[in-house]
Amino acid sequence: MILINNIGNEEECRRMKEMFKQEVLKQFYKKNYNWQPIVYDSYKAWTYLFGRAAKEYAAIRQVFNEIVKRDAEFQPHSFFDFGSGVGTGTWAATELWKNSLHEYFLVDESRDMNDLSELILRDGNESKNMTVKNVFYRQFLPASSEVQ
Amino acid sequence: MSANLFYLFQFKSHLILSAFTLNELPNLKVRLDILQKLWKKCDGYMVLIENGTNAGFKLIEEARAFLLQQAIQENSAYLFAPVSLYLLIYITNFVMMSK
Repeated sequence: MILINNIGNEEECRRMKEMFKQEVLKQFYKKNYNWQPIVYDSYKAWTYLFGRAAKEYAAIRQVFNEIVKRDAEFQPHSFFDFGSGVGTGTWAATELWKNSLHEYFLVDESRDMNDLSELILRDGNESKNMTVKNVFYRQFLPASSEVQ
Repeated sequence: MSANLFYLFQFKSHLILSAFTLNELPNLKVRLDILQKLWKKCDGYMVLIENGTNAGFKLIEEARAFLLQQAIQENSAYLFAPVSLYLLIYITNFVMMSK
């Protein structure tokens, strides 16, 4: 960039410096992975449902079947899902252990995800009752790790 | 409402699931922090599921090492699965710990 210093015109000099800066930033962002968390709004939640929910349900169901196969006497009373999303874990757990599960705790940071998950459990109609009893939604885990 | 919250976070759960969530957390500290809280809350099976990608595999490996370390200290838990990964590894990676 010796060229920049040699140009007599101040305007051009400034412009060149700007261009240089933009180019450097572009290369920087290309080389560094700038991780950003995904914030799920209502639209993203629906997209997730149509794009990923079916496969994830299949995977979770497969894994739970493994438990049932090898430990047939397992009858859980409470289910805790961290990052519940649209509720795929709940669907799978209900299919297998409907009789023994008393309560479901679903934690998901996104309120829209929780709303969508609740809508699905109400069979798509907000005025209907929940098809599964005792489902509790939360947005965060507690700050302290003191648990009985 | 506060009574409900209290109830939620005090008692242990028989089945804990974390499906495709670890890859949405920002860094190692947050992941391990959450894993520890979930592990303390577990009184049965703890199930972790991730995508069948390189990143997913690394997350599961890290979680497995961490939880086994915790389990050895308490001498109370064992690794329930996977026993044979070949079938499922192309779909998903998972780890199940049982107390």
